Amino acid sequence: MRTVVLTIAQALVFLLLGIALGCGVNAVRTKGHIDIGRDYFTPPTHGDPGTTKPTSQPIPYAVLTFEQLVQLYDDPKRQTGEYLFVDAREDEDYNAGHIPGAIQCDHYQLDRFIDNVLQFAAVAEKVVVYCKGGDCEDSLMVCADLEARDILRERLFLFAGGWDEWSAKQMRSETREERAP
Amino acid sequence: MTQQPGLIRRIDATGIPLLLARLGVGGMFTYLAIMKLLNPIHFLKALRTYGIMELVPYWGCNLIAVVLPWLELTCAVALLLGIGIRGAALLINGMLAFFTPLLVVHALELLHAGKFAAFCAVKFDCGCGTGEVFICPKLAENIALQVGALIALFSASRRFCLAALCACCQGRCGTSAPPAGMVPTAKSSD
Repeated sequence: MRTVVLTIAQALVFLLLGIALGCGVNAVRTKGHIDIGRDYFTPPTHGDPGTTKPTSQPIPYAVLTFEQLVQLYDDPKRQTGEYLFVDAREDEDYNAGHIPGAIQCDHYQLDRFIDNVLQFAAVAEKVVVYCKGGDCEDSLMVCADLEARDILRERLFLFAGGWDEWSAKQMRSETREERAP
Repeated sequence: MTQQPGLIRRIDATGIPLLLARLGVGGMFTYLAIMKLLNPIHFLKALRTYGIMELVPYWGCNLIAVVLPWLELTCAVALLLGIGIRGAALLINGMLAFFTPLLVVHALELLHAGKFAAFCAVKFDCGCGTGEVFICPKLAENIALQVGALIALFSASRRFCLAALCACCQGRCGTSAPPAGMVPTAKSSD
């Protein structure tokens, strides 16, 4: 009996230590910080708030094929900012390579990026958002973030193939260093 | 008064099974915890794919993503050092018993969705910190870890543990572990 009580007491001590360390470190870390009070997975303007598991619900934004994306990429309007490309992946992936000219907007660190993205998106005719591709939903989240900040749904486009398809077709890429002035 | 102990007790009394279990489970959990700590957002996304958010509110899921890697690390370090072994092993057993069935359920969901031809061909990022893995080797790994954690939970030996070493330094060497070939008259504890 004494052993059982001691074991449970030890487990409680470790549990409290884990909670203290987790919350303490999370409070001071900038990279990888999780806002406990933020619902990361319920799109702010649409979607069923009760559905918190990834589902195959219809995507509420126009989805571009690779060919359609290349057309937009080659269009001179991309150079003038009328077509805006937004990369919804995290720092490490974006830094390693992204579609040339794309600006980053990580849904999980929205405060860091949203002002910059809105500045360009507000004047863009079309905003194309992509992430890794496949099951990745980060681009969908960023579209919802932008729509919630008054970017019209009709101007938002998703490239479902994402970075995986772009890089698999050996298209040009750009690292963060190359993008930096 | 002594009696001849069984084979399992005699093997356990050598301290070798516990030492191997501590190094295996402690080492693996240290690695997995550090990988999660390097990218907690990635771990949070993985929690969502398991459907945990249908069981707990979003803030609970966020809290799990923040706390669990540190809990794993704390327990792993305790096992490696040999401090509070039973408490650490109890928590690790609990974590494995909770997440291993979720792994199976998620793999079955992917299988039924027609994404893979056979159960063992199912490959996905389990959020464990090791990237995309095939389900069968992952399950084998989890079962091995569970066995190790159970050994750590139920072993009566305290040889090679920090507490036993400290006792040795104080001239009470061997008092924290039952002598080989003998059954302890009182149950040992951490």
